[in-house]
Amino acid sequence: MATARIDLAFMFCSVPTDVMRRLLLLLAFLTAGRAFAEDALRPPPRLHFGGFADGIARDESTNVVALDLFSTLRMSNSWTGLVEVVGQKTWRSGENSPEQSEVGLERLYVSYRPSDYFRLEIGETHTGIVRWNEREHRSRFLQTPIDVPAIARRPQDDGAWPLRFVGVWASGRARGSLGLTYEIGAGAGPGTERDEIPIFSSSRSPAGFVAMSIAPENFPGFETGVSVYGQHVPTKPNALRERDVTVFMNYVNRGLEVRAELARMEHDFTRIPTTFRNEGYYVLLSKRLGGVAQRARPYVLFDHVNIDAADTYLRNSASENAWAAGIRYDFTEHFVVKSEYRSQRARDGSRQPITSVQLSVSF
Amino acid sequence: MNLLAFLVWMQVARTEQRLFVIVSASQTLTDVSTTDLRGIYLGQVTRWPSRHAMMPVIPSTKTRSGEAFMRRLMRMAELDYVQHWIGVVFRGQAASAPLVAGSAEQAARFVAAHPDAIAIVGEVPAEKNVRVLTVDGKLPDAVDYPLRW
Repeated sequence: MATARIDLAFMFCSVPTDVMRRLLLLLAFLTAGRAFAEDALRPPPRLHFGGFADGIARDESTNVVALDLFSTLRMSNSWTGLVEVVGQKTWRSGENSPEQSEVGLERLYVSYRPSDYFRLEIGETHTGIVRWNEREHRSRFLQTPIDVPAIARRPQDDGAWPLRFVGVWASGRARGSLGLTYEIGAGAGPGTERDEIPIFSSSRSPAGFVAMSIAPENFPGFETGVSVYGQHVPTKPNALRERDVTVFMNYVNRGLEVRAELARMEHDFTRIPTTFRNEGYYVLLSKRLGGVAQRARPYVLFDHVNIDAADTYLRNSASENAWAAGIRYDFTEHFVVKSEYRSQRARDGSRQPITSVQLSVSF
Repeated sequence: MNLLAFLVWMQVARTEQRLFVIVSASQTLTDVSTTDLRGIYLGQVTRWPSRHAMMPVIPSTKTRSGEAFMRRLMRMAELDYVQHWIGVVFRGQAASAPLVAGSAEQAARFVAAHPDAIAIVGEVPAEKNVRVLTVDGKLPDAVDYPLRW
């Protein structure tokens, strides 16, 4: 543990220091802007810019600096557009492994919403097959723990589930005491390479998605639902059929947060009677403390995924069995520090402890 | 005895909190349910019956009515509420978070000038071009008015 503390201190004194300084300056600037904005009551602007900045330092694991920028444009009463770009740099502490940088388009869509019952999105968006992903999108600011559960990781981060999607998406909410919502999508999912969505090539992967959820009026804060996703992947020599089903449950009320999700994925070869089954779940429990400690939110996360080793389509994904405990501290509504201890099973089967600290800003 | 009654009345007057829902006088809506009200202020209900986008306004949490709004109606800490709305806007579900009014008069002036606005205030404003809605069919003076604590 002494080594871990020294490593963390070293990381804070070297690369992340510059990041932290910039984040704090940004925070001061934005806080001043918001204080001014509260005095003047004006209609919201048509063009909105926002974003998140994250810096995560870990001992003997992958460090991350990420910037997530998004913009929404209200074109009319019913039409809006959204674009989101994410830049991320990762490197491992204590090793000479190369740094990895990526900048990519995360979401780009136009939305038509004539009412709360019906909303249509066209473009690149998130599938919502894993609710965590749908709820948080890329930002770690919004989520309570530092790490994303294994079933909600992006393919670029060795995740297995198809999180992004290009196509047409309809969703809506029915008024009433049941709080019923629906989502239906059709388009293209990940192709023969799990982290790419080909549109115009022969490796295009037709995909469809249906989800329903309820949030009963007489049970405030409770929400549960089911999502089903299917796609045809033209892998060679045998094409694959993918069927995913997830069931989720959230309860968020009076500072208590309980989130749980169970996901199952099956891959069938279209010509050979072979089925690969992959499954995973997470359970998150957190509670905002009261009184003078109300800015603190301790949490615990149980994170499990089991990948069939014979499923070559998921060759970059690995099984995981982990738990994490930590605390999130909100210095302001827009500046968060998290500290976490995570115990996870390494590829050789041994338990690997990881200590992490995250600074996160929203603006 | 009169002094005791006066002290009891003072205590009740000091602790009782009521919130009022106001809209522009040009709106046809006269009543709102508590479910829809929570939906509006959580970004789940975003449209008027006319299909125009709503502009919700909330009281500043530095006021008693703002505290009551967070604790009683939203049932969450201000931190969680602000971050909930950061997520709502980020997911593209709403164009912006609710506007924060420093006083009931400021909220009423805004609502009077913007027919698509809806505000929660801690006192009935003097502004003439706004209307106070009933909640779940109850008038604010009713004993069982849902926004009375």
